[in-house]
Amino acid sequence: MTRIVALASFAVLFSFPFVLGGGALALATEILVLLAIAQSWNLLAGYGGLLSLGHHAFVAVGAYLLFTVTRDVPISPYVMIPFCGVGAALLALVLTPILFRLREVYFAVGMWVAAEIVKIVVSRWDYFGASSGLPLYAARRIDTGLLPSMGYWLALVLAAALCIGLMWLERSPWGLHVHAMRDDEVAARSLGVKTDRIKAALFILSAAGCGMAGAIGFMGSLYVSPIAAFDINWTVYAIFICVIGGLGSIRGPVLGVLLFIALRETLSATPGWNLIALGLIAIALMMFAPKGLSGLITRFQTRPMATNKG
Amino acid sequence: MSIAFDILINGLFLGGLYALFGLGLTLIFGVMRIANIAHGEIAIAGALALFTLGAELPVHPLVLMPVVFALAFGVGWALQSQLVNKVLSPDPMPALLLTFGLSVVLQNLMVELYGANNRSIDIGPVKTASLEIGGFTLGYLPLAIFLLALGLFGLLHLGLQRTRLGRAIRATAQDGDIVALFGIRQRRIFALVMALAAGFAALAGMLLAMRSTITPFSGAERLLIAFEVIVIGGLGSIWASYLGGIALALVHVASFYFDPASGLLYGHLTLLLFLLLRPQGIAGKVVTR
Repeated sequence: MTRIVALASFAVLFSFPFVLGGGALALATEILVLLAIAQSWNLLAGYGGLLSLGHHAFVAVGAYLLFTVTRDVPISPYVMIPFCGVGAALLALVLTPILFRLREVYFAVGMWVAAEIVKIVVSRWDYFGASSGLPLYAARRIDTGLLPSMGYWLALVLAAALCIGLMWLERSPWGLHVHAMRDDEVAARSLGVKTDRIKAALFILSAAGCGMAGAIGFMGSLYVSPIAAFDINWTVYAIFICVIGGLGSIRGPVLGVLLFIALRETLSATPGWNLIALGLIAIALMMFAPKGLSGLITRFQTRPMATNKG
Repeated sequence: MSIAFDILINGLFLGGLYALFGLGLTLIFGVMRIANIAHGEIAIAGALALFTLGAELPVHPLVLMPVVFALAFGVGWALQSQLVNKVLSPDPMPALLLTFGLSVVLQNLMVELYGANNRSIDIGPVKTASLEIGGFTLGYLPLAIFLLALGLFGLLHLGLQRTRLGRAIRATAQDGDIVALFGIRQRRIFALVMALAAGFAALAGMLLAMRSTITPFSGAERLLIAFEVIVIGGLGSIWASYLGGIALALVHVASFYFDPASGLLYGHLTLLLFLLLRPQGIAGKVVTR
């Protein structure tokens, strides 16, 4: 039953480019890109217990790989997207031995420092267009009329793949190890769960998701610059989306991104107050409902059972 | 030769200020095993508060500094006792996310209230006055800030080592649950530590705004500097943070001299180098949870 509903909604979402106008399709693409980034961040924070304040580095590295490689090599930008994920994953792989020396509290800030380093290096290097950025040279080789639709479909496939991947994670034997680690790390380790290896794997996978999302997001705008790509707001939005929707659940970021966009569109006249409101909501949720909207729904659903048990 | 001496002296003096930024963060981590992501924003809020008070009251900014310190102390106490204490658990995630939310709120609130312009606190001719010794010029203000930081570290050291309250803080850092059995209210110690950390952060922010300029966006880079200070210095002792502050400031001053466009790049790279080669920091003991 769930499978039929999922397939049907995927079919409906898949048909959007035939139905929606340009502006609505761009918004839908943006929602899916944000969902992909948030779901990747959720994979690391909600399942791995590691909070990162530097995931915008992976978004940016994915985007920059797309723009530089398709400039120098005659490869289609659409085909390049998965390799952008691989590139971001490689950056995470390189950072792992350094950042994993920090305990979880300081991993967050350490990751931010790593993002700053990549940002400064990219914005000083002519190969990456230095501080002025790069246009998508490969746009000459493709039919740009199809670009918005292709971008949307790629974002849809990525977001769906991340959600399905998390579903698989929750059911697989490896997922049991992840669960055990999340519930009690010391106990899990004593039973032979290799917690460090799990965390590294989640970190690398989450970087790959962000890299692909960044590449897709910036492909649509045909232009990438250090200020836009390394904007810490990519990370800030991902955190708010996960906190509002519920960390460590699959539907959390899905609910979160819809609420986030709704709030942003209502308060669009005052972007500063928009972030203030989101920050206050995050604080309140941490105090009263740390599992976010998703947790509130679960609480609401299970209340009758709880009273039956007395 | 004279360049090397200049870098050394300037690095040393700036290091005192950096150490003051790191001090609060290391206290919080040492006692509560969490980080305050809003640390930099509290520092900048302190500077902006002094700015507003100085404009309203006909008093010299230096006289108002203790007032702002007291205000920040109160804010820190309230933050811990009303918010952070309620989400503390063995899992640091909720506390981190809460202080992250606070940092976003504070930063955007400051932008809305003060605008994004550069600001500096004017303390009169002292700012540029300097002392000449053997052909070298030493600014009075950097020197005074260095000595003030040193004095504060000394006071805190005495407070932690010699007073009953200091002993309670050190004991809570070692094992908060056992300390609770001896009738010490753990959560009040936490509130005191957060209050002190906020006070020191605000003080560092005010001194920074006297030395150079700040914007409401400066909080982020201050958090990164504070973090680098305590990792490079080593966790586990306040004097380690002082060493870390001086080390990081030397790197910043030298890199500003040789590669002015690099920003904080070399400081960040120094952090990575330390994490790779000496993760316990310059003076740190290996800290186990």
